[in-house]
Amino acid sequence: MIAPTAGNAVLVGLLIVVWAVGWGLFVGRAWQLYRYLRLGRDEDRTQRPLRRIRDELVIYLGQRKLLKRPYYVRGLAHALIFWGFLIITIGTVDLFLSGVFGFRIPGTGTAPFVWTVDLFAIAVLLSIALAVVRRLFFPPPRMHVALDGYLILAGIAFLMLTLLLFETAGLVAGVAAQGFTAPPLATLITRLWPSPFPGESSAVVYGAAWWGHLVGVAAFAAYLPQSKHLHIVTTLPNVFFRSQRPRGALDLITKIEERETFGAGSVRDLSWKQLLDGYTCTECGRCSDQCPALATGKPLDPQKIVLDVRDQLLHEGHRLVRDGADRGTPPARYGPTKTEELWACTTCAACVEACPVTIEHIDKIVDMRRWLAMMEGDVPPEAQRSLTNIERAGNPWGQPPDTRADWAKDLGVPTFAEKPDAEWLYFVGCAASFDRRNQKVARAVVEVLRAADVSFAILGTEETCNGDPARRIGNEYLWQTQAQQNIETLRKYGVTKVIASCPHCFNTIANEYPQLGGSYEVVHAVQLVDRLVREGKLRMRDGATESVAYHDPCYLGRHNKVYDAPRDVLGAMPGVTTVEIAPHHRERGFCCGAGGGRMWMEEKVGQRVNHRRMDQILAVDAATPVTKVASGCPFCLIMLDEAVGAKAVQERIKPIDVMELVQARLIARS
Amino acid sequence: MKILVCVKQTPDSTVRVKVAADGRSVDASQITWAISPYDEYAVELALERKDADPSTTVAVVTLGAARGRDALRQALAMGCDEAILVSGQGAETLQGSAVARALAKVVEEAKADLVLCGRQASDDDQGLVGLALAEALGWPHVSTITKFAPADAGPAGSFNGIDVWKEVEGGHEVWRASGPAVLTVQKSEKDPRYPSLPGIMKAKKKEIPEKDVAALGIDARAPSLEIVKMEPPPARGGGKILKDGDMKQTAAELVRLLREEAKVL
Amino acid sequence: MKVWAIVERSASGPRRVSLEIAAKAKELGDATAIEVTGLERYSSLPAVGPLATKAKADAPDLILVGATPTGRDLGARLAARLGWAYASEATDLAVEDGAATITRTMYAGKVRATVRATLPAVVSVRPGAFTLKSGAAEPVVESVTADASAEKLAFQRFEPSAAASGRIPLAEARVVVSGGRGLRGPENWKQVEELAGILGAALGASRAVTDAGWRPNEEQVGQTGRTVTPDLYIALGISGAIQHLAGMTSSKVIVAVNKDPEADIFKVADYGVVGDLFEFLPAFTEEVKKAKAAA
Repeated sequence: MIAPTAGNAVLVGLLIVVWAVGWGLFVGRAWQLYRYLRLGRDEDRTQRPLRRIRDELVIYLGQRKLLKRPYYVRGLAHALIFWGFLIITIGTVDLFLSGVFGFRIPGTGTAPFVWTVDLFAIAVLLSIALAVVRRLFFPPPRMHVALDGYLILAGIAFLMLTLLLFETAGLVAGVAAQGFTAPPLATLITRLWPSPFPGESSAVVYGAAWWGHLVGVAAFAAYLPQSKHLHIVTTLPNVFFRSQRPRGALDLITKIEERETFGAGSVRDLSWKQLLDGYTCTECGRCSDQCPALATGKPLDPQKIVLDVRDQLLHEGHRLVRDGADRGTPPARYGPTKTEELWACTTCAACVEACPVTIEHIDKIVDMRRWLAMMEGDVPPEAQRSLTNIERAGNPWGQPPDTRADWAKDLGVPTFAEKPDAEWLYFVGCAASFDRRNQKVARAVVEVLRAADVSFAILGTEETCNGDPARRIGNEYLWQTQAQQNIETLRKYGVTKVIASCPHCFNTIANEYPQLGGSYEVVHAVQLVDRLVREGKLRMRDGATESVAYHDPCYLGRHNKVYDAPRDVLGAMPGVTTVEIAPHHRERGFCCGAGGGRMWMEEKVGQRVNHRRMDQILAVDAATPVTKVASGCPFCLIMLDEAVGAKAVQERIKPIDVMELVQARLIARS
Repeated sequence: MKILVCVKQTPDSTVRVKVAADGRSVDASQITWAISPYDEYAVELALERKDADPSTTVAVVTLGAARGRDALRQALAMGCDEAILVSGQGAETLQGSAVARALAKVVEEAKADLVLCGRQASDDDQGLVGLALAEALGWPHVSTITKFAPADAGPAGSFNGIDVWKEVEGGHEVWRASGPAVLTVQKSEKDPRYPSLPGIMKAKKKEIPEKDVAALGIDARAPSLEIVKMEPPPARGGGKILKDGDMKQTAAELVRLLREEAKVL
Repeated sequence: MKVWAIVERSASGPRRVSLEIAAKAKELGDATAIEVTGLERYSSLPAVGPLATKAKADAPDLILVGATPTGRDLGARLAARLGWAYASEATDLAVEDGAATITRTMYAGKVRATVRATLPAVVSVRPGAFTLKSGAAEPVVESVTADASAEKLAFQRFEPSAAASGRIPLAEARVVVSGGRGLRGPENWKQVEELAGILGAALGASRAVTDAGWRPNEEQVGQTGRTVTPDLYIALGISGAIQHLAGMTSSKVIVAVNKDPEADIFKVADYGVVGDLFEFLPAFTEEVKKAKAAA
């Protein structure tokens, strides 16, 4: 198409001015936002560059995290809009260039390109229509449906319509350039409707639509930084710089002895990436949808946590940039309900899993908790008691540390002191050591390991709490102290391989101890059993025919992606039918409520999370009766035990650990 | 107002106390030391007063082994302004009213207006020293308090007397002390504050002056309790399970056992 | 051997512990029961002065006082005033060769100690340590008038506690009757309250029932609730989860009633009843009523 500005220097000048203004406003505001971003703490996000590139291609370009149930169709609509935006942007740039320089980008006149543009334009329009209808008539409960959203949708629709309009008018007015393929949609329209425009107005319509499109883009650009639609720009770096740490690992506070402040006392203490997350939130509400705390009536909404960071930064940014000494408000105190929101989190990572633009909610929550815990000493008192117990007795229950190995007394389990050449360390954990119900699981683990001739030993009374509750509650100092103690003990015995029956022990030893120099091969007991079964070293005999529901522990499943091993172990048990607690299973598993240090806190608001989980299990049970619900975590076990009691189904459905099921079906060694 | 809190470092309650081989003392090897719990409440009450009136100074003192420094550091980390360690030869074996006399010297030197301590130490469970200290100073005391507050709204910084809430059956008696007094603390309404990490770091670096108990020039003789024997209480468990017979018989049997065997009815 | 027993009075007469120590004093030697009169409510300075003066004059070898809050306050200050040895919360006592051999607990009740105090000494005695023989005559009580001029404090007022309303606070209760999920619902607590009333016990509850809203949070016994150290802890329909045990294993005697023989509570109970709580409780309440009436 010949540009309406061809040969007209004034019009060319006007076009340049319009774009300069529009994009100038964009750059101006974007620059300000960038300066605010730079207020944040430094953080190195350059590790694993190849993985970052891969994530960019898969998540940003491939829209992978959008195309997930139960949002598949909506995700597809968005993907189409996004891909459409990418393609059509080439066309827009081409338009501008042709308008200013009379220059076309090579290939933009070819059939494949022109067809792609038109098809995507249709797809985008349809998706927009879908989006508008949904927002107007069936708004999803947790999505902010604000004017901003409608403006953006209207803007995109406008751009698509002007595109189609100038293509059609251009075709009718005969301004197609030589050798360039006619746009198919325009061709189709003119075939069905030869004179869509009155009289000789097609040229005028062409010009108007052409200008409308380009001015629209400039206006869009100017508006962009005031809108959540900025995510189209910020998602690019946000995905690239996402955390490449294992999901279950929180970041390390280095040189803790030399610091004066800990945690987020100001938006300046949040890292630039955490602030970028604030800009990138599209307010889609998928995180809110998946959050077990919000679902059960707690004040926590992960989306609000993220948006509050953004709002606080925008609110305080100008002042903070101007006055370097101004620290602003601690994010943990931004808003009257903030602390209740923060303590309600179980760190289950359902929000992180759900977020299409790789926002890291948990890191922010923990950074704010760190401020409350280490600077203000403002932690829920019951949780504080557990931390003090860990500090003084090495376990959150405050049980006498010299009784830690009593569960193993009559089993003759060797300690590393007695058997220094053992291959594996079985890190028992506080729950299995002291909680009577979970001591049975520890015994089951021992029996299973023996049946498979695994060489192992325990630390006995030299074992101390791995520190996970402390780290999640925000007392990083206590976690480092505990971790260093354990790492020292493991170093003393030359331990290289660790088995854990608790996902919290597993997660922190495998993913977080390396931060302090303790690197080992770490497996969860069910992973080892899975391996042993495959290698033929462990066999299970026929047992009762039973239906067992499997509950994914968050720190085994979502945090460490161990979904299949426990299922394979269950599958290897003759007679056992594994029942999925669909749709709340695997990546969408619903938390038992004990993570994030919440095992040690009172739950005073709304329905108890474990009771909601039980409701879900009972719903599945109504269709496929189960006699047991199996998990691989001592906290899940305690929570489910409480829940079956509360729902008065304890006679019918027994919470059990996978290891206990294995134990019951062991084929005795000859 | 200057408040002096007397704290004792005792074995932390989470660790099981074991009787030593000699059968008359505790095995010190396994012990984690901490501020005696009632004393912690006393520190908390003092600090709450300081929160309400920042012109208040809170000093904390302990008498005994040199490791008492750790207890003092914890109190400093919680927010106390100064700490005094009274140690030296003989400090650990000082008892009862001799301890009180030593502390009285510290109180006088510190020019404290008010002395707080826990109602009893979690090692000897006696509840003597606080009251003996009041006696040595010639001051009144109020025991088992849960709260205190200034009596008047006088000019800031001046000590016009305090009202003290003493816990009794069914409620509290409010007593007014117009002069200096010793208060022994039953509990504070808020849990003892957990020291902030910067507080802990700062406390680690703070100077803690040590006074030699011998240099206080007190009469170290005091009527004391000589521990003749120590034994763990009878082990839990292995109780009698009653399950046969009808409930009436079982009930009667249980009552009989509780009266005659356990002597709790 | 001269022994004093300091008598404390309640509205209905001498406290039971005062009668117990008066009887013990008689056993030990030439006994005098003595009380301070002239005080509307106890205050240490007005009471200690006259007692000390009389003690210096009469020279008893041993002064016994009940280990009530008042008794411990008075006993300690008196011992300090007189410069005598002091032992609190004795559960047993013998005298020989000019010294008192006292049994008491130490380390927050975790250790049982036998200590010797050279006479003269002041000893506060745990209520119930010495059982009163039925039909024992009430002692003749000498009185000593309080010295109001010694007072340095001024009583302002009494503030009843909000939760009081006749309820015994858990903290110092000597007997606690505690209910758990086995009671099935809040409506079944009447029986628990009845038993507690007869025993003069405080009410406790497991976390499960306070969470469920059946009982107020103040009654929760356990790691996130209150720790209690009564002489008698009766656990009704409580399974004995570790968090609950953390709050009550320091009880002197634990009685547990539960229909599940595997319940963890039986591992710490001194006396356990396996059976239907709803059959046992009325029968037990009846038996306790009978026993108390006869006491």
